[in-house]
Amino acid sequence: MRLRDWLNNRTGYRKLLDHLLNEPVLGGARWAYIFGSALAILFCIQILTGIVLAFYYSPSTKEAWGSVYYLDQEILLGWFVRGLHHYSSSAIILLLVTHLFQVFLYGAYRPPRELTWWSGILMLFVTLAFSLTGYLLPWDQKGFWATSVVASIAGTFPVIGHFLRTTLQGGNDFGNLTLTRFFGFHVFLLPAFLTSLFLFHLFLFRRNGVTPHWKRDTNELHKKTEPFWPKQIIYDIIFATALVFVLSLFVIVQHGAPLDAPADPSSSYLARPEWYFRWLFELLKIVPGKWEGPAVLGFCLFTFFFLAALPLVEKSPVPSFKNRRVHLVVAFGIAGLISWLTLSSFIADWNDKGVALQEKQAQTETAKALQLAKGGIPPGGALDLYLNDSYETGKRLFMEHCKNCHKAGGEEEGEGSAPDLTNFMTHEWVKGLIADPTDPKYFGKTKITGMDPTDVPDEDLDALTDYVLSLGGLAPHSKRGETLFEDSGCHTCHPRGNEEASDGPTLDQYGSKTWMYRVIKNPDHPLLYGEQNEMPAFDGKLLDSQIDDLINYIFNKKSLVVSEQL
Amino acid sequence: MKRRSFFNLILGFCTTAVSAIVGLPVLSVFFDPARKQTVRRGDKPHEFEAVESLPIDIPRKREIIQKGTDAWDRSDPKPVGAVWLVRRKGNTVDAFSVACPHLGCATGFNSEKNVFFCPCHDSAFSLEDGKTIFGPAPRGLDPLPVKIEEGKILVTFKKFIQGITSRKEA
Ligand code: HEM
Ligand code: FES
Repeated sequence: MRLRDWLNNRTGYRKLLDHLLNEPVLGGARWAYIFGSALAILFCIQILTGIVLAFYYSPSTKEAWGSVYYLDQEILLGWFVRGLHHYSSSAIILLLVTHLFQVFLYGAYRPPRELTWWSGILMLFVTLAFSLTGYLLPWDQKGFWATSVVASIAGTFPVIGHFLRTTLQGGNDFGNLTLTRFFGFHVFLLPAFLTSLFLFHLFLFRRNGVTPHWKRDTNELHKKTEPFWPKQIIYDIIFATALVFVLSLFVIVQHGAPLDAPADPSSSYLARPEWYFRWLFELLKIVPGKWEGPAVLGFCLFTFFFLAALPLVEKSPVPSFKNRRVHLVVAFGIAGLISWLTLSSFIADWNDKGVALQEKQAQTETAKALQLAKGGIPPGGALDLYLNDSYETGKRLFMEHCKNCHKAGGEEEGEGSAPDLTNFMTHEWVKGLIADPTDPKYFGKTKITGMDPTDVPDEDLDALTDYVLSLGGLAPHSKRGETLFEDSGCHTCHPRGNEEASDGPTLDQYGSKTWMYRVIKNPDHPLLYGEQNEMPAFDGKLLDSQIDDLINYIFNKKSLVVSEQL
Repeated sequence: MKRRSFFNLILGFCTTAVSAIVGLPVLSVFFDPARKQTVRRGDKPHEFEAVESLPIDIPRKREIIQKGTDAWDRSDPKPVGAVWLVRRKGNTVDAFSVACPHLGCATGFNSEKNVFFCPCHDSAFSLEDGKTIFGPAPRGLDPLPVKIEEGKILVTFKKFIQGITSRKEA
């Protein structure tokens, strides 16, 4: 007791506490009043989780993704903290709208509470700004593409568009300064702004009290008036606790917030904004070309002015529904339109095969990036993960040097004048080759001739295939195949060692890495395709490590065939 | 001079001076990037494959991998965007930026309808000349300068300001 007395004598905290807890609630505690305090709690959660996120986050295009990845995947419960921050921002939007509707329906914007109402509306916009700036920070595909669209929208504003856009993104294009800027907004400016607004809001609320339902008469209200503590505060706490429970359950079920593959401006990512901006997105889609700007701007301004002007124009003696028909119709009209737009945007995507395909592709990319990131982010930034990846290098090399003639069953679109390398060196592929080397899929379109189709029963073909594959260690040895090889006279043209002067290419270590090296480096070698060869020799043009990557690619190319129509 | 207005003068002077000394530089630092080329890319043309290796009137998407500086950061070549290459009869090639002129999403090609297509707000563009044939895009796909040297395709990559009818470089 002595300590508290000591403190009280110096701070007077008891008076403050008394003031906070015993402030009368006109008409008594009500569940309807719980939303504001729940918002305050969620905002505190954002600050707390945001601060620890900021302990890890590094705002630069090379590092942002990696730093979020690290927090998410390597730090104990990092995913949970980031998940809370992510989903709590959605919860805040939901609650804000609910809170706004509650005070709207009760008529709480009416004098003397105009300033409370206006500061609330401002807080809604500040929260949207929070979400917008936060969404870009991880510098992943989702955030990058969605936010570029927003920046472009800003750019279409009449007169100030260009200035607005370059100021927002900090320069002529998205880059490092966009991230540092968004980080500055998200972590310094907006929190300071929102905190001030919130304190102002709270101060005014405490000064003017709650707005009870208009039907309750003054006598009854005064009789039932009670202090904040305990009942109203208990209501508030119960709701906020339930909310935090549901939120954390949600975070667990979702395994934290999504982190897409690193932002890649050359990819074709399907840009979609967060759900609470979907209505805007859909609006852009349905309004025809030149009406788009005016329509979107008009709708937003109308909503804003409707909300802002409400306390000035709605002056009925009692805010009953009967007296406010027009206002209710407009408010529910706006809400209905926004909900309808949101829904139809989601429904359109659900019914679109292309969308599903692109989402699947994005998931594959994401899984790949997360896998590669385990080895650390390269000095050039997260996008270089792919460049440094053997498979991706192989793919690039294939695209550059091989795909004009060879197909490989992936994203490359070869013209197929040379053998199709799809499923290269699988049993099926080699069997097809032995059966008919003149097939256009194999050597049919090349100048390489000399071997006729092999006309033997299917089992024999299988045995031959196994034998040929065994030469390069790609299948176990087949005795039957070896006998067949010799009986059918294959060996008369195809040596199995490196003896000179033969009619056909040697099958020494056929299909193995050594053999691939030879073919890629010197396909015109007399032991291979000799004078009939048309393929360029890559000896001296590609490094051994590059040939390794190419071989790796050819043998492991994606089974996922990417549709041309994307 | 009255005492009161003398005090007001001092107050006015001090506030203006302090606001100006601190405020103007702060504003400058905030707004300066808005009028700068913060992100710079080379303007050397990009070399792609030989004309003959492209099919006629079927677009192919190619990545643009380019060196550049982004504020303080000078980077090794990295992907900065993508282009459509379309070979025409008579061995000419058209190149378009993949970025949708509406709001910058990446366009795709719909091979059933034979049009370029943007999955964001459903704009569609003609295969022949990139003109907008459907949707909100205010202009057609942005053509890029193409040269053919020794049979190879050379394309100069550019970025344009989206959402406006005129074609202005960003
Ligand atoms: C109403 C308040 C806030 C909202 C609605 C909000 C929203 C968001 C969103 C949507 C993200 C992206 C999360 C993701 O998907 O990865 C984000 C990231 C971030 N936020 Fe906030 N935020 C709020 C307050 C704060 C505060 C107060 C701070 C710090 C003082 C903060 C720090 C951060 C940081 C460092 C990141 C980047 C890390 C990451 O993306 O995982 N946020 N925020
Ligand atoms: S961005 Fe392509 S239609 Fe909107």
